[in-house]
Amino acid sequence: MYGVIIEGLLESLSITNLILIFLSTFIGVIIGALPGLGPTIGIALLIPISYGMETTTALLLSAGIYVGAVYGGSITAIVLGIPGTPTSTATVLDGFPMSQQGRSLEALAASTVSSSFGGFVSALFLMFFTPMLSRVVLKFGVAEQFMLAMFGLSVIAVSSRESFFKGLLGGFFGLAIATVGYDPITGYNRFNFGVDYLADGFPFMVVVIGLFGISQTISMAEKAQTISGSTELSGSIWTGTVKVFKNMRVLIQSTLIGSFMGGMPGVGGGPANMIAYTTVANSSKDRDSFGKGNIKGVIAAEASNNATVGTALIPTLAFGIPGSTVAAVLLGLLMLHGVEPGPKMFIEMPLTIYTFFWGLLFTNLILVLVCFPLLKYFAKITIVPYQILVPNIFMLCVLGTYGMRGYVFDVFVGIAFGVLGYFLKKANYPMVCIVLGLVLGRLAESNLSRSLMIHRNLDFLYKRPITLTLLILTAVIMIIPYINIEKIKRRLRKN
Amino acid sequence: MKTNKKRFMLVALLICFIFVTACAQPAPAPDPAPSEPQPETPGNETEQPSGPTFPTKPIRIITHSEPGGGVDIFIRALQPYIQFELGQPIVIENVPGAAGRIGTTQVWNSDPDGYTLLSHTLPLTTVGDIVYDAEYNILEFEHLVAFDKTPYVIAVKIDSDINTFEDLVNESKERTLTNATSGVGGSMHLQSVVMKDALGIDYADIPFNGSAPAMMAVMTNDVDFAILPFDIPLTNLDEVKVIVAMDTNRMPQYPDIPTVLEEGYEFELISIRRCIVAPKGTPQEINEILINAFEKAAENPDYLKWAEDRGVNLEILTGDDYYRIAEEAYEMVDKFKDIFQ
Repeated sequence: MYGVIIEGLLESLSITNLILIFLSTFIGVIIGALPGLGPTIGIALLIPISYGMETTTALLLSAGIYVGAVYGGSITAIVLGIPGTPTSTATVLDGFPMSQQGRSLEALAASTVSSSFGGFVSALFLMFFTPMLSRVVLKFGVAEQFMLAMFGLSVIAVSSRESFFKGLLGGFFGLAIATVGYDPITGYNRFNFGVDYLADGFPFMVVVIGLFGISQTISMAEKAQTISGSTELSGSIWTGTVKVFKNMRVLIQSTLIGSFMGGMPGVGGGPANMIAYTTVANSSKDRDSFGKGNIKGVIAAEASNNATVGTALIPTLAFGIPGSTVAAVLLGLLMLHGVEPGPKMFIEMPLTIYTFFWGLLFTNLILVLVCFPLLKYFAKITIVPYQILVPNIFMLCVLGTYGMRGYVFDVFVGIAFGVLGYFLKKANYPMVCIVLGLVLGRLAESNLSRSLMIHRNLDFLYKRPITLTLLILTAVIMIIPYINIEKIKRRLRKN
Repeated sequence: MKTNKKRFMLVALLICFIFVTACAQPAPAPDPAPSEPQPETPGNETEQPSGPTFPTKPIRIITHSEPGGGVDIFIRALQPYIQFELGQPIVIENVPGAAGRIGTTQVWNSDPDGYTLLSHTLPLTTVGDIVYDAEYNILEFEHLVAFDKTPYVIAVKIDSDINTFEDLVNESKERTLTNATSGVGGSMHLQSVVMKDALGIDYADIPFNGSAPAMMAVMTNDVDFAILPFDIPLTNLDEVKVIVAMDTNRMPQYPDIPTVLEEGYEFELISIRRCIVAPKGTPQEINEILINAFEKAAENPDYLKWAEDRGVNLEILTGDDYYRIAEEAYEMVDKFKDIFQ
């Protein structure tokens, strides 16, 4: 087996393959940076083109696009405050405030380095621990997935410290939007007003582009200035890089969360990104500076989403069950090339598989090489006057909403959410709570229904070890913000 | 200097726009030119002299599957061979959503000129028509060709007490078993409902989001069993075991697994079929050209090899034969439509 691993390494290091990885990573970054286009569409675009290619070539190209696109979403998230992909929603929370302070270069560098690190570790997991981790995946049934979603939702309680009720309302609003579309259990069409375009619910990315992007352009159009408020940039790539390694704990913590969430079928990068961010935010001493341009927020969000890339392929390769929509498309690509995914693959075409694994590893390193020279230009966007920026961003957003599924209907949905988002922002509703509700609503709802259908009562919440652990964690997370540690310490000292 | 950089950025953004517009459809053809639908203009008709003039321009095949989904992969693998037979580019377009209803309706409303076709999965579109009141009438499409047949098997967790179909029937009388389906109204659900009705047994159908998650539910021990497409669990035989084949004959993949009939039970068996239809009213001679081309494409040795490697169970039915199968599916769904709602 180790012979094949080395052989795969040599194969992936050939000049043509390295050039392929380089190019596809670059394309991936661009695809990811465009709002509405993400890794799923990127790889889907590759499917018809890849037909005539060698399987290895196609796989390496998809690795580059996948990694590049998951990272690329953070560029738009940091520079413009619009998540370029669903997996970089949490990046906006601290990345954009950093840009507003003129520290976009620092944020972009931190995002690149932590993405690269998260992706690299995740690819290592994929390469060496697939058989082991696939056992863990099998421990997560519907009840566990429901509790995982609840754990994610509990984060609403802590991410809205400024106004608890506004956060809660936002979360409920998100959950309410998530109920539009067919009922995952009965198949009944709910709240779609008879429109078949809404039968699958509001497309997540369209809502996000509306809430973050289009609302942003409206508020920008109000004043004449630049994102950073000045015409000069402060901070450098170097400071951003150094800060990542100074926050090693955050980096490792969020990489592990991301890797874990990525491996859960049906959970994917979006929730991973949010959950890692909030976990880090709440376990940090400087909790209050999150959301105001704390670099740890960017590190957590970006390390975690790229850390889902490798592990999302674990259930795909081990069982032929995709861990995310991207993995599903990749699975399709594999099948088109006549590759039957599953344990058999490691026996029948080990060289292809290990070349792909190495390719994935190198892509994460090459990412830094591809992106560092570009960061300067991306950062410049934050010193472009709004008069020039606003029409361009608006056009990008509209195209993004259209590009998701290719339905004009979605453009109007996006604009409607944009107007709504503008007013919600004015009223200080935390957007992150809405998105959390939206992201986790379906996961929670469908798995709760399934658990109830299977277990017929709520015993599963505390009778299974994993759900019980998650239940306790959820309770702790919800209580934490209301405990004043200093006060308790003082009281203890008195006694 | 400053303005130069700004200009660079604007140009870069514009390039991005062009890129997005070019990629707006999730799956354009390798050749971007034919992805624009070209409406049949009246002027074109005068250009049709005698002789076989179809097709004179690219043909669009719309599939209701996501890129990378079951039908999508199937039709994309076939595409080069269809292209070869027809001598015109074949553009495959994904119009997913609403359990296939959006894509199917789009083809229903297209011009019946043979240049827009639908690649669909058989019981799915039927359910859309009957249960969800879709705009189209599935039986009124021009039925061109059904390519394959994916029968079901019943799978349980590897360490389950249920070892035969009989065990399953008996066990279902003692306690409430659970069965994972791919979703309400899906063909896995339909098969389950038909089976329950015929055997007079009962168990809970738990809907999941597709057949892969349904198999996962068996593997995580969430459900007792699942009725799965025969080609799915092959790779997971160390996690699940197949106890019965829901087909008329034993399956080559599972030579040791008896069929339901061999086990002494008889009920209607449902199979997924991946098919091609044309909008209602497409001229007969065009239909024949298309049927001929599809049939030849699916018999291409290179394609047959792909199908064999993938475990695709080809069973080509054309025209009336296909229509008969579609009609049977329609009657079955119609009979059980109340259960789905």
